[in-house]
Amino acid sequence: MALKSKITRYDNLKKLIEDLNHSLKLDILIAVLSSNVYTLISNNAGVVLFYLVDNQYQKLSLVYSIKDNSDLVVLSKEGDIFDQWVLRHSSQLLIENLKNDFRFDADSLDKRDLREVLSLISSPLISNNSLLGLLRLESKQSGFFNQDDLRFLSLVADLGAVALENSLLFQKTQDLAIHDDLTALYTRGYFIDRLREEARRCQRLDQYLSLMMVDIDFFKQYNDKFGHTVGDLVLKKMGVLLKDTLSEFNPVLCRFGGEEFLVMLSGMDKKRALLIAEELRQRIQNEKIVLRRQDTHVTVSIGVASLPLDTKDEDELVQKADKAMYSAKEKGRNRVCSI
Amino acid sequence: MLNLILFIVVTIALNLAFREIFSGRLKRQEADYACLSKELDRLNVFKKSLEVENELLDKRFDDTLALYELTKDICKSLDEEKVFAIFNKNLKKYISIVDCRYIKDSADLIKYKDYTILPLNLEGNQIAGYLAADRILEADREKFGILAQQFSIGIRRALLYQKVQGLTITDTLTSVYCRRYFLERFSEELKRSKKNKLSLTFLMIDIDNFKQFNDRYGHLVGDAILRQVSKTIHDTVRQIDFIGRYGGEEISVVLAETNKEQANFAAERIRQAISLEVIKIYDEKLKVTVSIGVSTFPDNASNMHDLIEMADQALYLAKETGKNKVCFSPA
Repeated sequence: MALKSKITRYDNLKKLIEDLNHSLKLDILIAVLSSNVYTLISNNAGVVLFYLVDNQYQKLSLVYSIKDNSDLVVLSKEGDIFDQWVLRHSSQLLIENLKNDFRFDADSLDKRDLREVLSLISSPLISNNSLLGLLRLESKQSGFFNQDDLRFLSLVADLGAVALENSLLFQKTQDLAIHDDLTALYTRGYFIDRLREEARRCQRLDQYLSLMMVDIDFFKQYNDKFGHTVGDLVLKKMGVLLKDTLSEFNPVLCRFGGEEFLVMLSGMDKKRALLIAEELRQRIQNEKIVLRRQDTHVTVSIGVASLPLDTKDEDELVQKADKAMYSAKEKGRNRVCSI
Repeated sequence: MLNLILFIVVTIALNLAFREIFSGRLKRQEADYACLSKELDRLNVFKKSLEVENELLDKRFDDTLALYELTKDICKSLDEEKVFAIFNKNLKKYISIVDCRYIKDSADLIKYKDYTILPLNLEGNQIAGYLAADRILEADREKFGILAQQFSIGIRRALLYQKVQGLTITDTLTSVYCRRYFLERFSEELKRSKKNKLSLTFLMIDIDNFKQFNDRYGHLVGDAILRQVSKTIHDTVRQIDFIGRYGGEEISVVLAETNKEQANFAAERIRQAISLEVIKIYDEKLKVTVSIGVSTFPDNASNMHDLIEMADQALYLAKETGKNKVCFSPA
């Protein structure tokens, strides 16, 4: 019997690693890992809990569970004393009978949690020194798990940790492809896609669409004078200012290049767009940036172009806005222009 | 008299008859016993062979499970080439193989046409690369497949990590600049300093006994310490200075327009601020200290890598001479 279950485990391990290799979706990975250990170790009895580490607050959060009794409610969403033990020691845990385990005081368990636990195994998911989560199996019977079970669980946890990290990294790459990491505005590539979609929609519905190209004046000199760190601060601040000032118009904002920003205002005609751009210009001019107890200011030149007035083609629209911005620069900067 | 004779005769006859009966039974029993003991021996031998077989199987399973432990080793590196080096080294521990290559470009496959080629499949049938194995035993083929799966997952991790590093600017945990961006900015700032004839100071800050904290209180506490220390540094330096996470527990700072004397003041201020800070995590109240290595442009060096190297040496000196202190690069 023991041999037979070993063979099943081994056969499934091969399949498991293939599955892990073929998916980068977090929820799928977590479900695959949990259900595999639940079936192979616990024989579909008891409870399996999957926790992820919340990096922001350095605590656990329950993300997935399988229970043989659907009435059971897991109250300790952030983990209990056993989970804290695993985290603190960064090692796996086997409790054969809680009543005989001197490491844990059963009375200190949360009494609101009515689920009975007498034995459990738990393993942390660690990849390259960072703790990603925790996988735990528990049972109402004492001695339900043995050392072999724990070894198998920690093996699955190790394989799972890499897969999990890959999935988290993949999410991050997707996010970074869309958002500029410095200003948290959209990236150029994503913005252009959105613009195309939006322009087509506006044309179909016979609506206006305006574009503002916003460029910080003398940014290079500013950088040279105060350093790039300050430059980064100004860019971040510009992102916040654009968001705040334009929020009521539902803008799509993008960091287009070094110190260039693009704003898409859907449904907005050129006349109004020019007025809003002028308001924005003034707001930025009046904003104080304090550096070393010294007040500094930046100004922007803005070019405005609109569909369908200036062009009917969305790619040309960007060029028109760019041209308008350059004419603002030529006319002496710190102003709004259109063609 | 006749009675007596008759009694004796009957007794003898009975005796003989009984003996005949019992000895026959005894003989039969003896034969039975011999047969049984033979059977027992046979069974014992069979049991032993089963036990041996069982042990062998157990060992085989253990060995097979051990194959999956390669993942842990592979995950020690985030560099594609190093991941392959670790894989290749471990491969020979598990199976007999003459040569193994990691091929990224399918055009190179033709060079290894005598090898066994194994494509590394990813999601949606994308191919990350190929493993080419030279002279691999038929019996090892399955093991090789299992190991290759783990290699594939490790390689993917390295590639994704590289991609994220290329795009990311701030470190998620500490909210300071990540290494790549920090170095980019450091090099720009150094150029600006040279052009404007300004001095610049580089600090390498390392949390004392960080490993012990991690081991004693666990990873989450270690992470919280890193986060708090980064925040304290951030609150202590000026806006024009910038901070980066250089390595695991190393945080580096560039103090723009700062000479050696000013640097001493700034570094001491950071050291003191951290040593006074009480870090509260769960039910723990912790205090940590840092050691700081300092190098200054143009006094110590004029290129970035030398400045880093010298600050690192100064940091080492600070660690060697008692920790919780600031040391300057002597050069």
